[in-house]
Parts: sequence; structure tokens; C-alpha cells
Amino acid sequence: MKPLEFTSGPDTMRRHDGRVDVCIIGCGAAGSVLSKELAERSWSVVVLEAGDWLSTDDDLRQDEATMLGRFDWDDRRWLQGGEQLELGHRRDGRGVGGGTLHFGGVALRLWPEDFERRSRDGVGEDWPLGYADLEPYYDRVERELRLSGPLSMPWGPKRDSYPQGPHEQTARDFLIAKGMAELGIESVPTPLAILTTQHEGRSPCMHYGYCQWGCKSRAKSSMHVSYVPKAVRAGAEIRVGARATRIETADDGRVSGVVYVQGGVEHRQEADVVIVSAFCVETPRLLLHSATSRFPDGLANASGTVGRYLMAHVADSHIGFFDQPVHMWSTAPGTLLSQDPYGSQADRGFVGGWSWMTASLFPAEYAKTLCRSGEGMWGERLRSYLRRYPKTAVLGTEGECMPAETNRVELAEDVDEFGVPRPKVSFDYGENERAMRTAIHEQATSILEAAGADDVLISEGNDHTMGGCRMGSDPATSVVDANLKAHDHPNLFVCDASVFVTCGGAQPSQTIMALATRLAEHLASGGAAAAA
Amino acid sequence: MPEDGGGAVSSLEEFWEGLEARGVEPDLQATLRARAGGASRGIERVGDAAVVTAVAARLVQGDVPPEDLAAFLDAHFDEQLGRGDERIGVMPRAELIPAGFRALEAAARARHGTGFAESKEEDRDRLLADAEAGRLEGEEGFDAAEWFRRTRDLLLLAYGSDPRGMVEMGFPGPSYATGHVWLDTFEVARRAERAPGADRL
Repeated sequence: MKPLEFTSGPDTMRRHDGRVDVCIIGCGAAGSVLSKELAERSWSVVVLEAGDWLSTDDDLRQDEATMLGRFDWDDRRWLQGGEQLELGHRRDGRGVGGGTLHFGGVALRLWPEDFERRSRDGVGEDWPLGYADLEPYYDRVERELRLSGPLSMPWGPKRDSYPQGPHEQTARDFLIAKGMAELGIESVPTPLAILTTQHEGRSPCMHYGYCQWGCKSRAKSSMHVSYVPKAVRAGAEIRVGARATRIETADDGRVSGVVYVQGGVEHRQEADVVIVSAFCVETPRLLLHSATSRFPDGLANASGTVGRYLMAHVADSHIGFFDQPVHMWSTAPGTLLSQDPYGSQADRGFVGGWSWMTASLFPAEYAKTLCRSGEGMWGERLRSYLRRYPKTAVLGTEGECMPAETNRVELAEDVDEFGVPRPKVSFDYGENERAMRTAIHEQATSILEAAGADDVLISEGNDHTMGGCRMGSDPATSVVDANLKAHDHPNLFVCDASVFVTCGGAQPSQTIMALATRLAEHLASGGAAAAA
Repeated sequence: MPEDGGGAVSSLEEFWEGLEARGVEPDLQATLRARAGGASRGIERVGDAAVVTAVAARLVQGDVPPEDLAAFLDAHFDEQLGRGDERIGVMPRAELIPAGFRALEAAARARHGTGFAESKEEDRDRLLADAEAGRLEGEEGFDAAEWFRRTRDLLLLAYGSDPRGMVEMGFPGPSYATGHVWLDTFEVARRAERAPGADRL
């Protein structure tokens, strides 16, 4: 059997003329799922994707420098605030597949408590839906992607076994698991959206290690090899190089379509329903820029919360140096997981928690990460650490970030080549994240030393932008409702990580896909009629 | 090669043989060979060649010649390379990086009466340490620490993507079929049989 990427792609894709049932902006984790789920329910679907349609064989190369910018959203963005927010490379994807082109495939669910942060801890906000509302959609996504994972998960809600067995453990995993075990910390092979056996013509993982530069074996379930071919097979049209510049509204407040630029020419796509899935900087940017005289502060923004409550995981790298070869580059990065420190726990002095997972760094990024460990990392000192590369293991984190109103996306005064104001992003961590970071550093050092590391360097960072168009029951404090419909517009929906109310301590991709699956079902089962 | 061993490759010859044996795409092999072949162009845009090369020589020491690191910087300093973020109040990187070399040269002349490239090694290192700590004066909108960070990142991208740097670090390059330590032999053999695209046959 051939992979679907060969048979259901741009060459065989249906083209739509005129008005369609739904126009989706962005073909990442959310837009791809929505396009498949809705097209399979006989909706006419047009997806506007700003980036290219990359071919696994022709366009992906296992080389850091070659791939830089190939599927990164690297337009100019203005940053301010105390934390150097990481955007672009390996954060914001551009291209069919979006961020899943570069994600490491770590496939975790949020926990029930993550949806109730305000009720449980008195900080942040509660989601307008609970874990039970999303659980069946997590199940469906995990079956669709044929997740690989451990026989059982020691943490979080009870769940069925994963569709495929876990990835093989590596030298890095053995070492870090040993260190964790000595400290009484449990670990398991990480659930991954990376195949361990063949599926739909796609290869099992070949352990090339370059997952985050584009998987060459198709084992990683990037959207462009999993959901998107099925969307195309069902009749969805993916327009690439199509940059949405404005969402149009009618006099009655309904959205009427999307203006976009493709090949230097401005077009207009009319649709009964518009779904914005352009991720956490571009989604609020587009809504804010689509202001009209009736909606002077932007679409969906009567509450003034569009762009606010941006979050990013505390994602520090802890580099341990060993006296034996580790070759951390040899497999997918996040193959070992511990969620022992996940969620709020007594006597830690902060709210929320984090997940541990292994990481891998290729030479240029390894060097750059070394340099973030503090001043004086250059010259002879840097060289000595570069030459220890084969005997290095990295322990990473995804630490929960509390939503803060001041962390936000706004429009800057200058405009890009499409005449759209550039985004201005303000971000800083608060006392809670700083306290968590201290605890993370202490425990990571203990784990790596217990594993046998004779030296540990800590490089601070952040990852996974989330929030900016949060959902909620109260139109005065949120942008969309529990069904992701904008409070202010009956046929405008937002579906990506920007709707997250809190972020937990886990990668967001599975939750994005579960939300998208749920939204598609909602629309197809009457939600669209209600919008009409 | 790594000073204490343990690398998956120990020479450039072994590196090239590995790429060939593993069936790495010809275009990628050519790209890597071109990088390892040294700079095909000089330093024309980012600053005075002697200053830029001298900075590269102090910051990133290793088997990739500083002239080649500097040429990479000159070719790419104004490209996004996956990241488009700029700090408010700091000049954009395309202006920042050249401004930093000018600031370094001016500081060297003011402090030592000679250009940066002609200064003593310890004086050069002191100037660079000051830049890293943000203590180097420059034009309006210049941020020395930001300049240091971005310049070093680019030089390290040059180093880490050059096969000479990879070999020094013990890294075997792309698409290896073996080299995974502590993995069972069955898996290694199975992987070796499956080159990228093999499932297309």
C-alpha cells in the first residue's frame, strides 16, 4: 500500500468555485483535522494556508541549516517583556501541516484538573468545558493517529491502551530513567504520534532523529501525511501560498468571507462559516486587523480579550554530561516521560506543575543551547563542551504557565508586505513560573547527577505559545464559547491553541486536535444550522 | 574528533563514506561538501573582513576556519533563518550585526589605540566579554548583548552545519542507518534496510 501522501495531494485535489460551506484559515493541527472531518461529512471545504505544500521526499532534508525557515513562520514580529519569547522556528509552523511539520510528536492529554484551575487553586480561570467533554475526541484522535505508547500510563485519567506499542528505549532513556528511579520518580516511554508499526502505507519509525526538521520516513503523523490526504480524498481544497488578510463581516454582524492574497493577487472566499486556525499570534492579529466601524476593536473582541492571556510553557533544557556515549540524536527527541511533578502539589509554593521528557539537539542547536546556559560560553570553554556532544543527554520540561492579562498580542504601527500591521507581542513570566523554574532546575540537576552526569548545564527557554483568544462562558471575559463560536458573531469560530484557557504541563497538539474533532462534530450535527 | 572519544565518526573521509553508504540525497551531499569546501566568497557586507574574522576566531574555536565562519555570517546575517522576532527598542538584526562590528572596532581604537583585529588576544576577549555583558557602547538602538547573542548564534549555525564542525563534535551527519548505541542488533539491521523513500518502491 502506498502512503496516502502519494495519491491524495495537490495533483488530485478538488477545486471549489464560489461560496463554500466553510473556509478555514490555517492548515495546521486544527485546520487539517477540521478539513478532514467536515469534508468527510460532505461539507464543501476551502482551507487557506499561507505556506507551501511540502513533499516528504522532495522537500524535507535531514539538515538543520537547509530546513531553517522552510516551514517556520518567520515574518517580523515585535517582542517586548522580560522573557525572550521563542517564536518562529519550531514554534509557529507555516505550510500544509503547520506546527505538526516540526513537532516532536509527543502526544499527551490535559488532565481533568487542568480544566478547573480557578476552582481548584484560585488562579487562572476554569474552562467552559471539562475533561469528560473532550475525552471521546482525544480517543478518536489517538486512534486516527495510531499513537504509540506504554501499556499503561501511571498518571492522569484512566484510558485505554495505546493503538501501537512504545518506541524502543535508547541510551539516553536508560540513563535518565535510572536517575529518576534513584530519586523515586517513575518514568515510561512517551506516548508519541510516531508509528512503531506500518500504518496506511506509512513506515514505522526509522530512528532518523530529525522529527523536528521534517520526518523523512512518514512515521511521524504530521498532518500532511495523515489528516490532510484524507481531507483531500474527501473533497477539501487546500489553497497554499494563500495569505488571509482580513475577515469580512455583513451588516448583521455575521462574517461573510475571507480576503486573501495568493500569487500577488487579492481574492475573496465567501463561506457560510469561517474558522480561524492560524495559531496564537496570527489568529488574534487577524481578528484585530479585521476591525470595522461596527466592530472598531476587531472581530470577536467586544470583551477586549482578543490577544490577551497568552501563555508559553517553561521549557528549559538540562544538559547532562556523561562518561559514556549517549548519541542523543539517534531517535525521536521525547521518548522518555515522567509526569510525577505534573499539576498542583502540596508544599511546593507554586501552582501547577510540569512534565519531564527527554530531548535531543543536533549540532547547531546544541551549540546554541549551550550558550544560553550563562555568560562566558565561547572560545575555549565552548569548544570543550562542543567536543563532549556524543556523551550528552538532555532532559527537558513543559512547565505550566498561568494566564496573565498583560501577556498579549497587539497590532504594531508598521505593516507587512500585505498591508497588515505586524504583531507586537508582550510576554513575561510571573512569580509562579519563576518559583516553578527554580524547583525544576533543582530536581533536574538531581536526576542527571543520579544518572551519572559529572556536569550539568541549564539553559532556560520557553515553548508552545497558547492562549490569546480564550474560551469561556462569559462574553465579557472571553472570546469564544465552549463550542468555539465567537460570542460576537454567529458564524465565526476559532480553533487552535489560542482558545486555551490554561495550558497544563503538556504539549498542546492532542488537545488542539481533540477540540477540532469536537468542533467538526458540533458543526455537522446542527451547530452550523444554529449559526445560520 | 571529540576530545574524550565516543563520537560516531572520527574523520571527514569516514563522514563522506557514511553519507554515501546511507544513501543520503545527492543534493544534500553536495550541499554538505560545499560547506566543508570552505568559503566561496569573501566578506563583503557585514563589516570589515579583518574584524569579522577576528571575532569569529575568538568566539567559535574549532576545526572550521574563522574565515569560513565569517563568510557564512556575511552571507546570512540579514536573513530570517526561521526566526523573525525582533526586540522593540533594538535595531533590527540586519542593522544590529554590522553596527556591532563597528562598535567593537571603535571601542578597540578608543581603549587600545589600535583596531580590534590588531589588538592583543586578551584585549579582544575583554572587549567581547564587555559586549556579552551589554557594556559596549554603540549607535542609537544598539544593544551589545543582543548583538553578541545573535552574532554567536549565527557563527554556531555555520559551525554546526559544516561537516568539519560535525566531525569535531563526533556527529555522523544525516540519515545514518547505524550508530545508535545500546539498540538491539535486529533493530539496527532493520533500519539499515530502509532508506528514505524505500516504501515508495
